[in-house]
Amino acid sequence: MKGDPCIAHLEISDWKCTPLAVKLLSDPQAVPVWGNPAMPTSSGSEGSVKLCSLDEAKRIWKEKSTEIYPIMDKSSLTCLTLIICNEEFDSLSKRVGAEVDIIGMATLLQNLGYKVDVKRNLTASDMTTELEAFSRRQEHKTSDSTFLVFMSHGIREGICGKKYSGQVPDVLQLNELVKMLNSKNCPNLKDKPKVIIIQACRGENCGMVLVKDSVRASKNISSPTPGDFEDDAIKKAQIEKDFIAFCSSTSDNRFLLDMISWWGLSIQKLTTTHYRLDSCVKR
Amino acid sequence: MSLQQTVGNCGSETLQHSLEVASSQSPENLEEDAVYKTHVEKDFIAFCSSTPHNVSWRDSTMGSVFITQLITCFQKYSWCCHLEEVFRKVQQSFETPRAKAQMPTIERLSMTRYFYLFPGN
Repeated sequence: MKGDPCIAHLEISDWKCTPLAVKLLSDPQAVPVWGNPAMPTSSGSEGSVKLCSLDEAKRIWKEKSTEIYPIMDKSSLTCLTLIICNEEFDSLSKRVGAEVDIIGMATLLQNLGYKVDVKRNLTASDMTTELEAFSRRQEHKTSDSTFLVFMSHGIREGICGKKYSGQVPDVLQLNELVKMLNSKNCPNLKDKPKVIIIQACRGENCGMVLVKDSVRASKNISSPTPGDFEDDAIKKAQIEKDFIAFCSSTSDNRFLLDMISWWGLSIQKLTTTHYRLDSCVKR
Repeated sequence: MSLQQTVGNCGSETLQHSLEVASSQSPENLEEDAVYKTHVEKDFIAFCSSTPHNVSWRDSTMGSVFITQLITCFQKYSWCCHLEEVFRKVQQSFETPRAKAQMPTIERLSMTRYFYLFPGN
Protein backbone atom coordinates (compact mmCIF):
# COMPACT_ATOMS: atom_id res chain seq x y z
CA MET A 1 0.00 0.00 0.00
CA LYS A 2 1.35 3.41 -0.93
CA GLY A 3 -0.13 5.27 2.01
CA ASP A 4 -2.43 8.24 2.49
CA PRO A 5 -2.23 10.73 -0.35
CA CYS A 6 -0.85 13.95 1.07
CA ILE A 7 -1.00 17.21 -0.82
CA ALA A 8 0.86 20.40 -0.14
CA HIS A 9 -1.98 22.86 0.28
CA LEU A 10 -5.73 22.94 0.22
CA GLU A 11 -8.35 25.62 0.30
CA ILE A 12 -10.28 24.79 3.44
CA SER A 13 -12.33 26.48 6.11
CA ASP A 14 -10.87 28.85 8.71
CA TRP A 15 -10.35 26.55 11.71
CA LYS A 16 -7.48 27.80 13.80
CA CYS A 17 -5.33 26.06 16.39
CA THR A 18 -6.10 26.93 19.98
CA PRO A 19 -3.50 27.74 22.68
CA LEU A 20 -3.84 24.06 23.59
CA ALA A 21 -2.31 23.29 20.19
CA VAL A 22 0.75 25.38 21.01
CA LYS A 23 1.30 23.39 24.21
CA LEU A 24 1.02 20.05 22.45
CA LEU A 25 3.12 21.00 19.46
CA SER A 26 5.98 21.95 21.75
CA ASP A 27 6.11 18.38 23.06
CA PRO A 28 5.21 15.92 20.29
CA GLN A 29 5.81 12.91 22.55
CA ALA A 30 3.24 14.01 25.09
CA VAL A 31 0.16 11.84 25.44
CA PRO A 32 -2.28 14.37 26.74
CA VAL A 33 -5.25 13.43 28.84
CA TRP A 34 -7.62 16.26 29.23
CA GLY A 35 -9.09 16.65 32.69
CA ASN A 36 -12.53 18.01 33.42
CA PRO A 37 -13.84 19.57 30.26
CA ALA A 38 -13.54 23.34 30.10
CA MET A 39 -16.71 25.35 29.84
CA PRO A 40 -17.47 26.15 26.21
CA THR A 41 -16.66 29.69 25.24
CA SER A 42 -19.35 32.13 24.29
CA SER A 43 -20.68 31.92 20.77
CA GLY A 44 -18.05 32.78 18.23
CA SER A 45 -17.13 31.49 14.85
CA GLU A 46 -13.43 30.81 15.17
CA GLY A 47 -12.05 27.88 17.10
CA SER A 48 -15.12 27.45 19.29
CA VAL A 49 -18.50 25.79 19.25
CA LYS A 50 -21.58 27.97 18.87
CA LEU A 51 -23.68 27.40 21.96
CA CYS A 52 -27.31 26.37 22.10
CA SER A 53 -29.36 28.79 24.19
CA LEU A 54 -31.60 27.42 26.90
CA ASP A 55 -34.67 28.66 25.00
CA GLU A 56 -33.57 26.87 21.85
CA ALA A 57 -32.84 23.69 23.80
CA LYS A 58 -36.29 23.84 25.40
CA ARG A 59 -37.92 24.42 22.02
CA ILE A 60 -36.21 21.41 20.47
CA TRP A 61 -37.00 19.24 23.47
CA LYS A 62 -40.64 20.29 23.49
CA GLU A 63 -40.97 19.56 19.78
CA LYS A 64 -39.30 16.16 19.70
CA SER A 65 -38.88 14.86 23.25
CA THR A 66 -39.99 11.32 22.40
CA GLU A 67 -37.54 11.14 19.51
CA ILE A 68 -34.41 12.52 21.19
CA TYR A 69 -31.82 10.62 23.20
CA PRO A 70 -32.35 11.41 26.89
CA ILE A 71 -30.41 14.30 28.30
CA MET A 72 -28.73 13.81 31.65
CA ASP A 73 -27.86 16.41 34.23
CA LYS A 74 -24.53 17.87 33.09
CA SER A 75 -23.26 18.40 36.62
CA SER A 76 -23.18 14.65 37.22
CA LEU A 77 -22.06 13.54 33.74
CA THR A 78 -18.74 11.79 33.16
CA CYS A 79 -18.59 11.48 29.40
CA LEU A 80 -15.48 9.92 27.94
CA THR A 81 -13.98 9.87 24.46
CA LEU A 82 -11.04 8.01 23.00
CA ILE A 83 -8.85 9.24 20.14
CA ILE A 84 -6.47 6.74 18.55
CA CYS A 85 -4.13 8.29 16.00
CA ASN A 86 -1.37 6.51 14.13
CA GLU A 87 1.13 8.94 12.67
CA GLU A 88 4.30 6.86 12.42
CA PHE A 89 4.48 3.36 11.00
CA ASP A 90 7.10 0.63 10.68
CA SER A 91 6.62 0.28 6.90
CA LEU A 92 4.11 2.91 5.77
CA SER A 93 4.73 6.60 5.22
CA LYS A 94 4.41 9.05 8.08
CA ARG A 95 1.02 10.78 8.21
CA VAL A 96 2.24 14.33 8.23
CA GLY A 97 -0.44 16.69 9.53
CA ALA A 98 -1.96 14.10 11.87
CA GLU A 99 -1.00 16.13 14.92
CA VAL A 100 -3.26 18.94 13.74
CA ASP A 101 -6.13 16.45 13.56
CA ILE A 102 -5.49 15.26 17.12
CA ILE A 103 -5.49 18.78 18.51
CA GLY A 104 -8.58 19.75 16.54
CA MET A 105 -10.67 16.78 17.54
CA ALA A 106 -9.51 16.83 21.17
CA THR A 107 -10.36 20.51 21.49
CA LEU A 108 -13.75 20.03 19.85
CA LEU A 109 -14.71 17.08 22.04
CA GLN A 110 -13.56 18.85 25.18
CA ASN A 111 -15.67 21.86 24.22
CA LEU A 112 -18.64 19.52 23.77
CA GLY A 113 -18.23 18.30 27.35
CA TYR A 114 -16.17 15.13 26.99
CA LYS A 115 -13.06 14.01 28.80
CA VAL A 116 -10.57 13.07 26.10
CA ASP A 117 -7.95 10.33 26.12
CA VAL A 118 -5.43 10.19 23.26
CA LYS A 119 -3.41 7.14 22.25
CA ARG A 120 -0.83 7.14 19.48
CA ASN A 121 0.94 4.72 17.15
CA LEU A 122 -0.75 1.44 18.06
CA THR A 123 -0.97 -1.96 16.43
CA ALA A 124 -4.42 -3.42 15.83
CA SER A 125 -3.91 -5.63 18.87
CA ASP A 126 -3.00 -2.57 20.98
CA MET A 127 -6.10 -0.79 19.69
CA THR A 128 -8.21 -3.77 20.73
CA THR A 129 -6.65 -3.72 24.20
CA GLU A 130 -7.33 0.01 24.56
CA LEU A 131 -10.92 -0.42 23.39
CA GLU A 132 -11.54 -3.24 25.82
CA ALA A 133 -10.19 -1.12 28.67
CA PHE A 134 -12.28 1.82 27.48
CA SER A 135 -15.42 -0.32 27.40
CA ARG A 136 -14.87 -1.29 31.05
CA ARG A 137 -14.55 2.28 32.30
CA GLN A 138 -17.03 2.85 35.11
CA GLU A 139 -17.55 6.48 34.05
CA HIS A 140 -19.80 5.21 31.23
CA LYS A 141 -22.45 4.48 33.87
CA THR A 142 -22.89 8.21 34.44
CA SER A 143 -22.39 9.30 30.85
CA ASP A 144 -24.97 9.85 28.14
CA SER A 145 -22.86 9.12 25.04
CA THR A 146 -19.36 8.54 23.73
CA PHE A 147 -17.17 9.36 20.74
CA LEU A 148 -14.36 7.19 19.39
CA VAL A 149 -12.02 8.69 16.82
CA PHE A 150 -9.63 6.63 14.71
CA MET A 151 -7.11 8.29 12.43
CA SER A 152 -4.61 6.22 10.49
CA HIS A 153 -3.76 4.75 7.14
CA GLY A 154 -6.49 2.44 5.96
CA ILE A 155 -7.41 -0.23 3.44
CA ARG A 156 -10.76 -1.60 2.29
CA GLU A 157 -10.78 -4.09 5.17
CA GLY A 158 -10.18 -1.58 7.94
CA ILE A 159 -7.85 0.67 9.91
CA CYS A 160 -4.10 -0.01 9.71
CA GLY A 161 -2.06 -0.63 12.81
CA LYS A 162 1.48 0.71 12.97
CA LYS A 163 3.03 -2.58 11.83
CA TYR A 164 0.91 -2.95 8.70
CA SER A 165 2.64 -4.01 5.49
CA GLY A 166 1.96 -6.30 2.55
CA GLN A 167 3.25 -9.19 4.65
CA VAL A 168 1.84 -8.12 8.03
CA PRO A 169 -1.98 -7.85 8.11
CA ASP A 170 -2.17 -5.46 11.04
CA VAL A 171 -5.76 -4.23 10.59
CA LEU A 172 -8.66 -3.34 12.90
CA GLN A 173 -12.07 -3.89 11.32
CA LEU A 174 -15.14 -1.79 12.04
CA ASN A 175 -17.03 -4.98 12.87
CA GLU A 176 -14.64 -5.80 15.72
CA LEU A 177 -14.70 -2.25 16.97
CA VAL A 178 -18.50 -2.19 17.17
CA LYS A 179 -18.57 -5.58 18.83
CA MET A 180 -16.35 -4.36 21.67
CA LEU A 181 -18.79 -1.58 22.49
CA ASN A 182 -22.07 -3.43 22.00
CA SER A 183 -24.63 -4.13 24.72
CA LYS A 184 -22.99 -7.41 25.66
CA ASN A 185 -19.42 -6.15 26.00
CA CYS A 186 -20.14 -2.61 27.17
CA PRO A 187 -23.46 -2.67 29.06
CA ASN A 188 -22.78 0.74 30.63
CA LEU A 189 -23.25 2.33 27.20
CA LYS A 190 -26.46 0.47 26.41
CA ASP A 191 -29.13 2.73 24.87
CA LYS A 192 -26.61 5.59 24.61
CA PRO A 193 -25.26 7.06 21.36
CA LYS A 194 -21.88 5.63 20.38
CA VAL A 195 -20.30 7.76 17.65
CA ILE A 196 -17.34 6.39 15.71
CA ILE A 197 -15.30 8.73 13.51
CA ILE A 198 -12.81 7.17 11.10
CA GLN A 199 -10.26 9.16 9.13
CA ALA A 200 -8.51 6.64 6.86
CA CYS A 201 -8.36 5.59 3.24
CA ARG A 202 -10.71 2.76 2.29
CA GLY A 203 -8.89 1.71 -0.88
CA GLU A 204 -6.70 3.21 -3.54
CA ASN A 205 -9.24 4.62 -5.96
CA CYS A 206 -9.72 8.35 -6.42
CA GLY A 207 -13.45 8.32 -5.75
CA MET A 208 -14.17 10.33 -8.84
CA VAL A 209 -15.42 9.73 -12.37
CA LEU A 210 -15.61 11.94 -15.43
CA VAL A 211 -19.11 12.38 -16.82
CA LYS A 212 -20.46 14.21 -19.78
CA ASP A 213 -22.18 17.53 -19.20
CA SER A 214 -25.69 17.66 -20.63
CA VAL A 215 -26.45 20.15 -23.40
CA ARG A 216 -29.04 22.80 -22.65
CA ALA A 217 -30.66 24.20 -25.79
CA SER A 218 -30.81 27.98 -25.97
CA LYS A 219 -34.16 29.41 -26.95
CA ASN A 220 -32.39 32.09 -28.97
CA ILE A 221 -30.84 29.63 -31.41
CA SER A 222 -33.24 29.13 -34.27
CA SER A 223 -31.50 26.27 -36.04
CA PRO A 224 -30.13 23.65 -36.22
CA THR A 225 -32.03 21.59 -33.66
CA PRO A 226 -30.16 20.83 -30.39
CA GLY A 227 -30.30 17.11 -31.05
CA ASP A 228 -27.81 17.45 -33.95
CA PHE A 229 -25.00 18.56 -31.63
CA GLU A 230 -23.08 16.86 -28.90
CA ASP A 231 -21.27 18.70 -26.17
CA ASP A 232 -17.68 17.71 -25.56
CA ALA A 233 -17.60 19.18 -22.12
CA ILE A 234 -17.03 16.79 -19.29
CA LYS A 235 -17.09 17.32 -15.61
CA LYS A 236 -16.09 15.48 -12.48
CA ALA A 237 -18.63 13.65 -10.40
CA GLN A 238 -18.43 11.71 -7.17
CA ILE A 239 -18.28 8.04 -8.09
CA GLU A 240 -20.57 7.08 -5.20
CA LYS A 241 -23.20 9.47 -3.86
CA ASP A 242 -26.91 9.63 -2.96
CA PHE A 243 -27.23 6.03 -1.81
CA ILE A 244 -29.03 4.69 1.19
CA ALA A 245 -29.15 1.05 2.23
CA PHE A 246 -31.67 0.04 4.86
CA CYS A 247 -31.04 -3.47 6.10
CA SER A 248 -33.49 -5.61 7.96
CA SER A 249 -31.08 -6.40 10.79
CA THR A 250 -27.69 -5.53 12.23
CA SER A 251 -24.57 -7.27 10.90
CA ASP A 252 -24.16 -10.92 11.84
CA ASN A 253 -27.76 -11.18 13.03
CA ARG A 254 -30.63 -12.89 11.35
CA PHE A 255 -34.01 -11.59 10.32
CA LEU A 256 -36.86 -13.89 11.22
CA LEU A 257 -38.83 -14.97 8.19
CA ASP A 258 -42.14 -14.27 9.86
CA MET A 259 -41.09 -10.60 10.27
CA ILE A 260 -40.68 -10.09 6.51
CA SER A 261 -44.29 -9.20 5.88
CA TRP A 262 -44.44 -6.77 8.78
CA TRP A 263 -41.25 -4.96 7.75
CA GLY A 264 -42.09 -4.86 4.08
CA LEU A 265 -45.62 -3.62 4.69
CA SER A 266 -44.37 -0.95 7.10
CA ILE A 267 -42.02 0.48 4.48
CA GLN A 268 -44.74 0.36 1.82
CA LYS A 269 -47.28 2.08 4.06
CA LEU A 270 -44.88 4.84 5.06
CA THR A 271 -43.71 5.62 1.53
CA THR A 272 -47.25 5.68 0.11
CA THR A 273 -48.36 8.23 2.70
CA HIS A 274 -45.84 10.75 1.34
CA TYR A 275 -43.06 10.40 3.90
CA ARG A 276 -39.51 11.12 2.76
CA LEU A 277 -37.39 8.02 2.67
CA ASP A 278 -35.04 9.24 5.40
CA SER A 279 -38.04 9.83 7.69
CA CYS A 280 -39.20 6.29 6.96
CA VAL A 281 -35.76 5.00 7.94
CA LYS A 282 -36.01 6.81 11.28
CA ARG A 283 -39.49 5.42 11.94
CA MET B 1 -36.30 -6.13 -2.06
CA SER B 2 -34.71 -9.46 -1.27
CA LEU B 3 -34.83 -10.81 2.25
CA GLN B 4 -33.21 -13.99 3.40
CA GLN B 5 -32.87 -15.66 6.69
CA THR B 6 -29.21 -16.11 7.42
CA VAL B 7 -27.67 -18.40 9.92
CA GLY B 8 -26.31 -16.25 12.68
CA ASN B 9 -26.96 -14.72 16.03
CA CYS B 10 -30.42 -13.85 17.23
CA GLY B 11 -29.50 -10.18 17.65
CA SER B 12 -30.49 -9.94 21.26
CA GLU B 13 -28.84 -10.48 24.56
CA THR B 14 -30.35 -11.56 27.83
CA LEU B 15 -29.31 -9.36 30.68
CA GLN B 16 -29.96 -9.95 34.31
CA HIS B 17 -31.90 -7.28 36.12
CA SER B 18 -30.34 -6.16 39.35
CA LEU B 19 -32.79 -5.66 42.16
CA GLU B 20 -32.44 -4.29 45.64
CA VAL B 21 -34.49 -6.27 48.11
CA ALA B 22 -35.37 -4.98 51.54
CA SER B 23 -35.53 -7.98 53.78
CA SER B 24 -33.94 -9.49 56.79
CA GLN B 25 -31.68 -11.46 54.49
CA SER B 26 -28.39 -9.98 53.37
CA PRO B 27 -28.80 -8.52 49.88
CA GLU B 28 -25.57 -10.16 48.73
CA ASN B 29 -27.08 -13.59 49.24
CA LEU B 30 -30.11 -12.97 47.05
CA GLU B 31 -30.16 -13.40 43.30
CA GLU B 32 -32.70 -11.98 40.93
CA ASP B 33 -34.23 -14.45 38.49
CA ALA B 34 -35.77 -11.88 36.21
CA VAL B 35 -34.12 -11.48 32.83
CA TYR B 36 -34.95 -9.30 29.90
CA LYS B 37 -33.90 -9.05 26.30
CA THR B 38 -32.02 -6.20 24.73
CA HIS B 39 -30.56 -5.52 21.29
CA VAL B 40 -26.94 -6.63 21.10
CA GLU B 41 -26.15 -3.73 18.75
CA LYS B 42 -27.98 -0.44 18.87
CA ASP B 43 -27.36 3.32 19.04
CA PHE B 44 -24.23 3.23 16.90
CA ILE B 45 -23.17 5.51 14.07
CA ALA B 46 -19.87 5.38 12.21
CA PHE B 47 -18.77 8.29 10.02
CA CYS B 48 -15.98 7.40 7.60
CA SER B 49 -13.91 9.90 5.68
CA SER B 50 -14.59 8.35 2.27
CA THR B 51 -16.64 5.78 0.40
CA PRO B 52 -15.44 2.16 0.26
CA HIS B 53 -12.51 1.50 -2.11
CA ASN B 54 -11.59 5.19 -2.22
CA VAL B 55 -8.91 7.39 -0.72
CA SER B 56 -9.16 10.15 1.88
CA TRP B 57 -7.02 13.25 1.64
CA ARG B 58 -4.83 15.03 4.15
CA ASP B 59 -3.06 18.38 4.05
CA SER B 60 0.45 18.34 5.48
CA THR B 61 -0.04 21.58 7.41
CA MET B 62 -3.79 21.86 8.01
CA GLY B 63 -4.60 18.21 8.71
CA SER B 64 -7.11 15.84 7.12
CA VAL B 65 -9.76 17.48 4.97
CA PHE B 66 -12.53 15.38 6.49
CA ILE B 67 -11.51 16.15 10.08
CA THR B 68 -11.26 19.86 9.29
CA GLN B 69 -14.76 19.96 7.80
CA LEU B 70 -16.14 17.82 10.61
CA ILE B 71 -14.83 20.23 13.23
CA THR B 72 -16.15 23.24 11.33
CA CYS B 73 -19.62 21.75 10.95
CA PHE B 74 -19.80 20.79 14.63
CA GLN B 75 -18.81 24.32 15.57
CA LYS B 76 -21.38 25.89 13.27
CA TYR B 77 -24.35 23.53 13.50
CA SER B 78 -24.33 21.39 16.66
CA TRP B 79 -26.33 24.12 18.47
CA CYS B 80 -29.37 23.56 16.26
CA CYS B 81 -28.84 20.32 14.36
CA HIS B 82 -28.76 16.76 15.61
CA LEU B 83 -25.71 14.61 14.89
CA GLU B 84 -26.92 13.06 11.63
CA GLU B 85 -27.78 16.52 10.30
CA VAL B 86 -24.30 17.74 11.20
CA PHE B 87 -22.84 14.75 9.35
CA ARG B 88 -25.01 15.56 6.34
CA LYS B 89 -23.64 19.10 6.37
CA VAL B 90 -20.17 17.60 6.20
CA GLN B 91 -21.19 15.44 3.26
CA GLN B 92 -22.71 18.43 1.49
CA SER B 93 -19.43 20.30 1.80
CA PHE B 94 -17.84 17.55 -0.29
CA GLU B 95 -20.68 17.30 -2.80
CA THR B 96 -18.92 19.10 -5.63
CA PRO B 97 -15.68 17.25 -6.30
CA ARG B 98 -12.56 19.35 -6.00
CA ALA B 99 -9.21 18.47 -7.51
CA LYS B 100 -9.00 15.74 -4.85
CA ALA B 101 -12.41 14.21 -4.22
CA GLN B 102 -13.85 12.16 -1.39
CA MET B 103 -17.32 11.54 -0.05
CA PRO B 104 -17.66 10.93 3.70
CA THR B 105 -19.98 8.04 4.40
CA ILE B 106 -22.21 7.08 7.29
CA GLU B 107 -21.98 3.39 8.16
CA ARG B 108 -23.38 0.94 10.70
CA LEU B 109 -26.18 3.28 11.70
CA SER B 110 -28.44 1.89 14.42
CA MET B 111 -29.32 5.08 16.27
CA THR B 112 -33.03 5.06 16.93
CA ARG B 113 -33.32 8.67 18.07
CA TYR B 114 -31.96 12.10 17.25
CA PHE B 115 -28.73 12.90 19.08
CA TYR B 116 -28.66 16.57 20.00
CA LEU B 117 -25.46 17.71 21.69
CA PHE B 118 -27.02 20.91 23.11
CA PRO B 119 -23.61 22.61 23.54
CA GLY B 120 -23.57 24.87 26.55
CA ASN B 121 -26.46 23.15 28.32
